[in-house]
Amino acid sequence: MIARKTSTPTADTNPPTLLVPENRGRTSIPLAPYLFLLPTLAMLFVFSIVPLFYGLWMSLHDYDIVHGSIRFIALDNYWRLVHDPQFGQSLFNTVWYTLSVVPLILVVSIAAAVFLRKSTPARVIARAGFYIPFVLSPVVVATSWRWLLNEDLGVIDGFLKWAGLTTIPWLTDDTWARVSVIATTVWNLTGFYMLMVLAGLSQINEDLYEAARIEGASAWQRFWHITLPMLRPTILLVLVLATVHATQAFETILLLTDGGPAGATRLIIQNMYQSAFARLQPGYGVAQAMFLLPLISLVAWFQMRLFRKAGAL
Amino acid sequence: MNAAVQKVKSDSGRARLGSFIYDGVAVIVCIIFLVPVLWAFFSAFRSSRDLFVFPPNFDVRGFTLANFQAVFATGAVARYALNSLIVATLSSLLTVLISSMAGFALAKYKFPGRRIILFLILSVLLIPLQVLMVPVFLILKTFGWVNQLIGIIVPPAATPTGTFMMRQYILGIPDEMIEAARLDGASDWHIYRHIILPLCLPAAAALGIISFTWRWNDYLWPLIVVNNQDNFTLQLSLANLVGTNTVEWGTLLAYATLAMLPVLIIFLVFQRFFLKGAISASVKG
Repeated sequence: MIARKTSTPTADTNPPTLLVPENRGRTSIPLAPYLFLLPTLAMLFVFSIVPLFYGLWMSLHDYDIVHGSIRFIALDNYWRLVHDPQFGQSLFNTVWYTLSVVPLILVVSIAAAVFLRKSTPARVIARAGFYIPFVLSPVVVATSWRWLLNEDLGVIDGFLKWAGLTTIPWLTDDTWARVSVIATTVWNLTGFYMLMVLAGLSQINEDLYEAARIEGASAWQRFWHITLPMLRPTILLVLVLATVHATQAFETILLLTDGGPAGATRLIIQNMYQSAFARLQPGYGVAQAMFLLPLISLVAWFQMRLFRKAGAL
Repeated sequence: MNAAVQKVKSDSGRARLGSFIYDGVAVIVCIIFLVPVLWAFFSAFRSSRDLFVFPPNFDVRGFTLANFQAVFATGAVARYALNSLIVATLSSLLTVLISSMAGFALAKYKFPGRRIILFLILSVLLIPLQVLMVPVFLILKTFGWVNQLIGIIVPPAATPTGTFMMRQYILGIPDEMIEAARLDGASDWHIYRHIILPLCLPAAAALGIISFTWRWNDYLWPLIVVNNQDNFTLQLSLANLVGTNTVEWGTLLAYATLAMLPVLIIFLVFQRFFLKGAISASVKG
């Protein structure tokens, strides 16, 4: 600080670097920023980085929690995965779940955003309304939907019965349970992605629409030839984030169907959870989670690019 | 000329009417969209006799608080709510504190490794908790934090998004203010405490509120960490009720209503924080 005082502004060849007195000495590296960063770095290290490598290590071992014995078995856990029909089923479930949820979210959120684009008071309120499911906890979401879809007591089947139609086993039939799980997820996440699309829409130059209108383009043409192409970066972002959301889906489904009936809605994460905590085979459980890692790193790379574009890095 | 003015007027009149109808449709669609939660909310106030009747009876006189009384009669709810409140409050305060410190360091200092550290912090975003569940559980076990509230409070408090949000905001604070304080001989901590912290209050509040709702709603951390009833959070105890086979739906829905009420109120009051900060706080931490 004292050194800072003695240096005259004109003597600085560089623009003043903040808080780091430059002519305090060549060896001076400021300590303060490291101290400020310490809590965050330490916690991220202990609760994210270490577990990641610990998990990798665990997946190479036969980890017996009951007897406390650990045996190195190299890739046996992964080998076992390939032959495990239950894991195969959960992998298959995750794939169809992702392939249904992601496009649905994309379409519904774009539709909602375009519909609510203009900021009239009513539409601003409607935006908040669409966002509400996203602020509800997974437990509350699952409870509400279980009540709605209940086979004997739920209001939808109540209506069907009243109308003289056959009731639908929403949560106890393979196919209908899948439909219910997808509907719940889309309902839960749409509001969030709608906001993202709204942000994307606000970037589009109004003049484009004005010009198209003068040319006599219909509303549909304007959407197809202006809105959609201009939204491309946003659509890409939605696709990536929704894919992450979908492959990690766990809590709501666990509470809604518990992966049933007969594993029809059990996704990878739940399968892993069961192996590790119910069947006490943490090594094998972690190996399943690691299976998702290539996908996650791909998304990682993509997100980093987005951050870089935003000027963060 | 008069006719032209007339035409413009009627056009704008028609446009206004169209916009009005459009608004109405938007609100109605939104209400339909919210039916799953509205229906649960509505049902929480029905007596067990009316609960399963179709067509539903919307008579206001039939409303009852019996289900809520039943919730509180089971006793432990107050304790679970307190646990949730403690966890959400302490965890979000911790998030704001450490994120603003880290954000300050990354925004206003030049030091070796700055870019690398920012990159490392952001890359943690990409490791989903679901994948880490098992190893994290074992690490918490060695700390003796399993079954303790501290095990839910501390680990999720450090978030890359929080750090990033604070950094972006602090970047906008003019350097001159810090320079001036430095010339007056203020220490680094003093600058953080008396200049940065007050000036980044809007961002800190937004981060605090958003992380409070995440922690209040959280199910996964408590599920991994806590399994003795005394330290259950509201969400965990509700999830436990949902799992039982003989479900008392009225009580359950009243319970769910209570669990979502704080978050709904916070959301409605601080809407703009959520709707604006949503993108940055999206990838929940």
